[in-house]
Amino acid sequence: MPTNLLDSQDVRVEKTVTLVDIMELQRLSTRLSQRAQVAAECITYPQVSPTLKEVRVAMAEMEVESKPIELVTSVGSCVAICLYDSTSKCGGLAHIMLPNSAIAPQDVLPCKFADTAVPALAKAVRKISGQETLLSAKIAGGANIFKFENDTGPPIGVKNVDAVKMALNTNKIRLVAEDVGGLYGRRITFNIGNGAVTIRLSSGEVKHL
Amino acid sequence: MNKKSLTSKTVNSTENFTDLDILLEIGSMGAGHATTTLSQVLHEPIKIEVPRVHIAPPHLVPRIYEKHDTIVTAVFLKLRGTADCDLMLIFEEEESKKIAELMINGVEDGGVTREMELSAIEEMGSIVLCSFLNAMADFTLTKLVSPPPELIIDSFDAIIDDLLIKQALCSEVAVIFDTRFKRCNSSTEGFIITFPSYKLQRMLATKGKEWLDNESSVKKDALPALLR
Repeated sequence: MPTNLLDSQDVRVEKTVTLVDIMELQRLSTRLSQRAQVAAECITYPQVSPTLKEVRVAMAEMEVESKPIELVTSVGSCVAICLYDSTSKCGGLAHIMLPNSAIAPQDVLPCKFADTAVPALAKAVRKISGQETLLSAKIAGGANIFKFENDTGPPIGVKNVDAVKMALNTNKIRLVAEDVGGLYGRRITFNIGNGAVTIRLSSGEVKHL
Repeated sequence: MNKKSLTSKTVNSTENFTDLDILLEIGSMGAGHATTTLSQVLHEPIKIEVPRVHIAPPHLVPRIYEKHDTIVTAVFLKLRGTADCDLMLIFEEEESKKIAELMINGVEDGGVTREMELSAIEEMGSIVLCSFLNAMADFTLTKLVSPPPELIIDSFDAIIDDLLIKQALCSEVAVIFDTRFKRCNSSTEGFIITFPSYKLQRMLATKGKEWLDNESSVKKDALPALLR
């Protein structure tokens, strides 16, 4: 039957067209993807890490994380202690205020003082990672914001830094990097994903630890 | 209930309310004087919020302001002597520039250097904070001599944490007089933050009570005289 034949022919033609189309499309897509690769190699992206969720650590508090987020805090003469476990990619940040818990023995906040914050933070990091690995520490802060200090003894920022170093030593945690002292405040960003610590000064200067 | 709402949420204090009321009253007086002076210096109306007294553990104070990384210009006055007190006048960076421009009125464009700007702000801060101190000194009949002020530009948290550490060293709670104000055609707030030492708080409270007692005794004496 002629009508039937026509139909089948039509169908066949259609099929060949689609096949050709598909092949053409495939070729096109491979070419495009090759071009895209070349283009991607040509473009130099700015060295900005993808925006991670930021969690602010308040004064006299600590935060421990296993997910790749950023812990953020601002310090003047306080000290921020970042402990990192590079094998399990867990870390924690503590924002301490004072060097020694002896001045207020009844205080319930361990992260207010350098000597109690370090063991508490180390314990918390090891608990979340589930293993007794070696931790590495990075510290920042301990500035002397007000120049007119004429009280006796070294300024509180220096005392804080010394106390933190001593506490790290007694808890056998290695101090990898530090950015302490000076006359300016610091904004500290601790990337849990790779353990990088970024310090931003109010002048806009950025340091990487 | 009303009295409770005057303090911050985390009241954790042994002070009784009458002492707190007196402190609040004196803080308001200081704040009133200071902002009036500011208004006179700038020739502009200033809107002032009802001054507050916060009594909170030192480490919770940054949460009262929620200004963490904002870069601010602060004029800091550190009073030492009969009674210690730290006073701070804080503006956001943009606002401080505008205020400096207002103060150095008449200088041609481009004639204002950064040093002039900072010096103007420092001077203004000194005037404003000293009038705050004056109000307190007049009330307590003490001599409060202030040193020259210091100008700091840094993030809010970094500036405030040094003062909080000092408060934390001597007491469990920080007492803060908190004044917030705005120039009439500006959107950003300025702050006057005062940290009276424990000694000064006690001085203010006792003087306040004396004054209240005198006042009530005067009233009792005055009443029959009026009736006569």
